[in-house]
This record gives sequence, C-alpha cells and structure tokens, in this order.
Amino acid sequence: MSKILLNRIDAAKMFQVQNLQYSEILYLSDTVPLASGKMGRVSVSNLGHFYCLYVTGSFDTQFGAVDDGTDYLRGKLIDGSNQKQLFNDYVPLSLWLTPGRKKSLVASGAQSNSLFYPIPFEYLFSANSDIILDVKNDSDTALTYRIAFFGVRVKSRESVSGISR
Amino acid sequence: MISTAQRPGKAGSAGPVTVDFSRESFPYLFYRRINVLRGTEYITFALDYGFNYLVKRIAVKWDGQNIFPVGAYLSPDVLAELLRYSCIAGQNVPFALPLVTSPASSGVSFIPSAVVATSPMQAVPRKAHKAVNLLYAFKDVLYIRLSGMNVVSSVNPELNHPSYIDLLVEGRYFPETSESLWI
Repeated sequence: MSKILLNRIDAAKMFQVQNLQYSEILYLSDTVPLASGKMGRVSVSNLGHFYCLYVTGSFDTQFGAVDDGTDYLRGKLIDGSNQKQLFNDYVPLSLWLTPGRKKSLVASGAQSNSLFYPIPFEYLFSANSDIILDVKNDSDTALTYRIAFFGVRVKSRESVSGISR
Repeated sequence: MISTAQRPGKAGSAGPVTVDFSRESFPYLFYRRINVLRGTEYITFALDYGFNYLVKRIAVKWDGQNIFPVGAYLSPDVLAELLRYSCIAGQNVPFALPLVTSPASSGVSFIPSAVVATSPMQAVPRKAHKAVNLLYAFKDVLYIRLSGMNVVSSVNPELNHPSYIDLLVEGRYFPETSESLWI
C-alpha cells in the first residue's frame, strides 16, 4: 500500500481556517448601450472583505452586423467603498484583460481568444462595498463584457476588525 | 496590511484579522493614448503626493496605420525609455517595446485594408510581459520617452508612423505615511 499523503488531513483545523478565509470568485457581467457608457458593479456584500488577486475577462467586438475584432470598450475600475479610482483614465479592455475578445457572430471575424494567463491585480475590497467598472462603448452596437475577480474572502464579524470607517 | 494577531485569552485559536486601510498599497494603472507626430515622444504621469509608485509592468499596443498606400508594410521600431523627473534613465539604453510586452504576434496589429485613415486598433490582448520593478519616490514624475519612429520616404511620410500608441503602465502605490490623503 502506497503512502499517498505525508500528513494526515486534519479536517477540523482545515474547516476552522476555511470558515474564516477561503477562495472566491466574484463575477461581473454587464451590457453597455451603444455609443454610451454604463457603470457595472458587483457587490462584495457584508460577508467580509474580498482580497482580489487576479482578473480575467472577455468582451464583445461587434460593430453593427460585423464582428471586426476592434476594441470598442474602455473602462475604469473604481473601489466603491470610497470611490477611489484605480485607473487614471479609461483603459481599453484588451490592454488589461485576458482572454479578451469573444467572438459574438458565427459567420464573420476571427476566433475568440483563449486564456493566456490571468492579469495580476492585488487589491483589498472592503466589506459592504462594490467593485465598480465604469465602461464606455464606442460601437454602434450594445456590447457585453464579462469579468472574473479571483481572490480570497476574508470574513467579517468575529474574524475581522477595523472594517468600520 | 492584513495581520492575524492572536486573540487574547484564546491561545491557539485563529485571531481576528486587523485591516488598516490607510496603510494599504493598491494597484494603479496609468494609461495614455499618444498621437505620434514626431520621431520622439514624451509621456509624463505625475505621481500622487504621499505615495511611492512601483512600476510592475508595461503594456503597449499600436495600430496598423503604418502601411504604405501601395500596400507595403513597415514595422516600426519603437524604443522606450523610463526616466525620472530629472531625466535620469532607469536603464542604460532604450529598449524596443516588443522586448517588454507582446501585444500581438509581431507587436503590430495587421490591417487588411490599405485605407489607412479608417484602420482601427484591434482587440488583441497582450500575451506576456516582463516585470520592470522600478520604484519612483513620491513627488516624482514618471517620464517615458518613445523614440525610433523613423520617417522614410513615401508619398506621405507620416504614414510610416503608427498614428497612435496605447501605453499602459501597471504598478502599485505605496503610502509614504499612515496619514495618506485618501483617508
């Protein structure tokens, strides 16, 4: 019989840690109207702080009836707890998101991009706040984007102090 | 700053997590779209007062308008240089942009059309990057000098430039003191 694990898994200790901190993915998806802007947001909720580590995202590149692969969306990430802007300007989504383009029409254009690697983005979003993405759309078609924030949930209440500010 | 201190009176148990938001570092992205009009362009970003800034990565894209009207293709050899406000270089010589970031297979988005006036920036994501890790003190100015956009003979020499360059600087702000201005 082979020895699979060097140390026995202590389920009680693991649950004790996991009840306070565990990995979580927050998902943000929104459709921006044509030639306009919209603030998409995802709630961190009062469950605890969210320590973001990586970001991935995809978006549509459609212009009318053509998916021409052009980057029409640009966005600015904002910490909703204090309206702290994390970008100095509206950054084209293709510059800071992978896999990026998602092919939205069957007949035209190139294929969707595959995931190269997640973009590192380490930031602590406090409990009871929102992650806000202010996006502007330069296309004549409403476009959708999808973003996943990979991070660690740091639970509040009895496990976290200093959240009231 | 997240620290896990032992909860008094409960040795061995997981203590409360203390979060001091005023001392937290946070990511900050500088973005600028530069219209290339000359062989050398300067880009400046004024750093926020009270924060040091660590440049982690640079991502650059440029469009495909550097196409001869007859259809021939000229790859721009854009060089970048990171400078401090006193124009002290963070490197010995300018480096070519594809050496630090690879926005596309060749670093240039190919546009099939020869109508250069309508060539848009393609949504090609960057595939890899190299860490820069250059620290700027607060009150400093992040200078970036782009050069190497050579003008060659053509009907319109300006067409040999990329018409604009998207420059993204990724980094982190570090509070100089606990009394940061955000609070």
